[in-house]
Amino acid sequence: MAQRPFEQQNWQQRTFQSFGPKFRLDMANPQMGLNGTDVYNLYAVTDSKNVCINGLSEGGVYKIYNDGPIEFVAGQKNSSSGIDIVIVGKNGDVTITAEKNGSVKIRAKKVVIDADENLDLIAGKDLNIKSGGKISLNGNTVNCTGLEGNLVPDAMTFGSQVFEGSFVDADLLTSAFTGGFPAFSVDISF
Amino acid sequence: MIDESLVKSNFVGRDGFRWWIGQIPPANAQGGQANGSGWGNRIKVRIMGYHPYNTVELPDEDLPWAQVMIPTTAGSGAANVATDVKLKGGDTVFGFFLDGDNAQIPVIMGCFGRTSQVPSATYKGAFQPFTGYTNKIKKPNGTLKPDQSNEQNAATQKSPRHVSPKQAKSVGKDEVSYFSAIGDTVQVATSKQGTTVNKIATEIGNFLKTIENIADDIKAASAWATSLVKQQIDVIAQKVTAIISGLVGGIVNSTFNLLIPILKQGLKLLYDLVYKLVLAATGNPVAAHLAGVAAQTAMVAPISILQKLIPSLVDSILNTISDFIKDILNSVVDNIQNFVQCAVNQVTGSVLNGVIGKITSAMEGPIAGVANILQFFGGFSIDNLIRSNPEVMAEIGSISGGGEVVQWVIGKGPKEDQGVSFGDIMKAANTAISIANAAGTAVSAVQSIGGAMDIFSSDSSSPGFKSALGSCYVGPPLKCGAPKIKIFGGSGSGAQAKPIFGSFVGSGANQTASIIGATILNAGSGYTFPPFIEIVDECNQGYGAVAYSTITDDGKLKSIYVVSEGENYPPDEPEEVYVTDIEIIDPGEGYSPGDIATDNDGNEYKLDVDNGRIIKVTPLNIKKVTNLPVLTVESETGSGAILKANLGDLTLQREVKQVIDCIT
Repeated sequence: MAQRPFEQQNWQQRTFQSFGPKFRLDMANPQMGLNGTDVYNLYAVTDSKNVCINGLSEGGVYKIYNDGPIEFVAGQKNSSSGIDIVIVGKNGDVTITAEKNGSVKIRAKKVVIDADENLDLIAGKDLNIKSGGKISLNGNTVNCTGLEGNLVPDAMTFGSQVFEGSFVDADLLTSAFTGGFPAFSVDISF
Repeated sequence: MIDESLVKSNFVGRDGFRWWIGQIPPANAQGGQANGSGWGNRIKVRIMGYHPYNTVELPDEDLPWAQVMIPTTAGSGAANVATDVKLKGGDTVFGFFLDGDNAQIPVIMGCFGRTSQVPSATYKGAFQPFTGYTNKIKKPNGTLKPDQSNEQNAATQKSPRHVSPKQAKSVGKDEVSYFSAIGDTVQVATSKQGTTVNKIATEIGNFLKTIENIADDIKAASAWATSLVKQQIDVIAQKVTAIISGLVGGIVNSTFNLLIPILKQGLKLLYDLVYKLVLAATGNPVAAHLAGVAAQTAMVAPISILQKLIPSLVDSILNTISDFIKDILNSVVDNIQNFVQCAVNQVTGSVLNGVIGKITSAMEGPIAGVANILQFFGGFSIDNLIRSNPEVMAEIGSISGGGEVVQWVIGKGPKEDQGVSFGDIMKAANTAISIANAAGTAVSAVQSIGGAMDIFSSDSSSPGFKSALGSCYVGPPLKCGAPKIKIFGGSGSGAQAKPIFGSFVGSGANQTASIIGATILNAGSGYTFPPFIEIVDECNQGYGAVAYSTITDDGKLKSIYVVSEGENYPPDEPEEVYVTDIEIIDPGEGYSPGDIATDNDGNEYKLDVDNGRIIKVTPLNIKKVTNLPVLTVESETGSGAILKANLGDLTLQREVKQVIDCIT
């Protein structure tokens, strides 16, 4: 386990200002990091050992780390029709990830998700859409698939598919597999 | 006094100029100046040659105030321009007296920097070196180390590194990581199907990394570490439960879809059977038909119960699987020291076995209700149905490739989304559950549900571990292979490259190296933008190598150039490499014909300049390269060019095989 040979580390370029045990500015530190050496780092630490770092590394990644929360607040004096915060990815994706068991929450008077192409809503478990007003689905083709539920076409429910082609009375099947099944039992032994 | 004023001008410098060196006493001697109620830039100072060497004769509190001169760049405070004075107790300062030989009005002009040799003890007495830390300025408690030196060397005010805590520890005992999350993998949102395994692997990988960081505390059985592990396991179990909810939902849906044709066929067979029996008994086809219909109708209720199970089944499984996942994590936390692919497969396989087991047991009652239909399919069980139809778990497998980045390493960048072999996971899951079933009560509770996976055995971290399942060794890596270059994204595929090593350090098994270039083995095809380059060794030992790629107009990989060589990589054998050509990343501007470039290995390069921009770079002399070449353009007029060297083997080109005279 070793660092690069010392003569290949450019300590000549390093400058720093250490403002005490809680804050430091370190520039061109030739210590190798995951994304190359540091172009600069601003480091701060609280009495509770929560650190905050922002900096740029030679590989081009700009980092903002904080052990506690980060606030971005803008537009206190802007006009209400303007834009307060702009986050732009010029070429690639913009991703937001809440790790562990956190949620990604967006709240506004009006929420617009504008996709030039597809909009995918994927839920590992339940997908809940609730509206105080209308819910409008509009498309040139609108499909619904499932095995149970009141949006599933009668013929597509689990039970309907199982009994398709059987001799069981159609009304009974409709009653059983679409709108609830009356409590009765038929005992047959052979 | 009158005599004195007669012979003195009382102008600085005219009555003699007296320099002095002194020491600043502790903060508690500075009165209001140290607690915010002072005025001016005044600091008490004990001056050598003027003040006694003990605090009895002259207590620190009685020392004279020195004015502090500040540099012109600091700002006096006028117009809000100011920089505070940063002198601390124990500092050795240099100055002069404003009042010459009277020596009553000292001025501090500067301060001598401390070296690491200066003792940092607490204050003992006059002129003895002592610490600048006080009860109000405590030593650093974060990742900075206490340091009271200001020297021109690498050790002074050493900063933490942007590496993971484990990597920092591996570089040296004085090395620390800036931030404990550096090196963690983040799985970002994607519409890509089949990322369950990667999500599970990411969570458990990060969990094990956390555990690794406190391994010493765990070994020492510290209550703090035990509590943290428990807390982490609870959190991860909850997260993995959430991750697998889509998988569970998918399996439940698929299982019911698989049941449809079976039950449908069973209903037909049931009708046929009843019809045949009644016809044989009565000879009446109408009665036989009605009996058959009645038999089918009798199945409406149990099928309805099955259908009603669909919405609640996923919830009931997820409500109970979390505890099982906790059991898995508790069982492997002491064993897995290296989260290799087989361990990923086995953890996932165990979870899968748990899910299958819970679906099977939850459906047991309702399935028994349709036994009359299933009687025609000997040995039918939900467990068999799922295991014999792997497509039921299609969601679990991962599809790699394409242009989308779905994983990111904090502090590093994009990570290749490795395709996971669904077959390997299923094989591990099926084999392990068979072994556990065969062993009966000889296996632990978690194994009886999750299967007899290697990862549950404490032997799995011992070198030479063998098992019937696949000998999944999860101990510390026995040998770190050389790093691999992973090329992904860019909408293309097929490109392959291997690293070129340089800046070797050490020898034998302990030898490490940096990455100074890459040899392209296959240019691939279909790239519409330069693919991402990830350089990683299987032990995660090396760090810091960063490379980018360029592509040709026809969508092939053209070059890989290194912008940061990194360090600490386990290398392959050194190769003899040379600069083969130069990639012009930025042609700059203002260059003149005749400008040349040189590199740190002494190579020279001819530049072709067009309209001030560098359009071609040709190596003039060819010397062996052992370090990352850094090209510098020597020009009085131009600036801004970025040139990166491509390295390779020039042996054949350097040998003159035959000279052909094309003129005569």
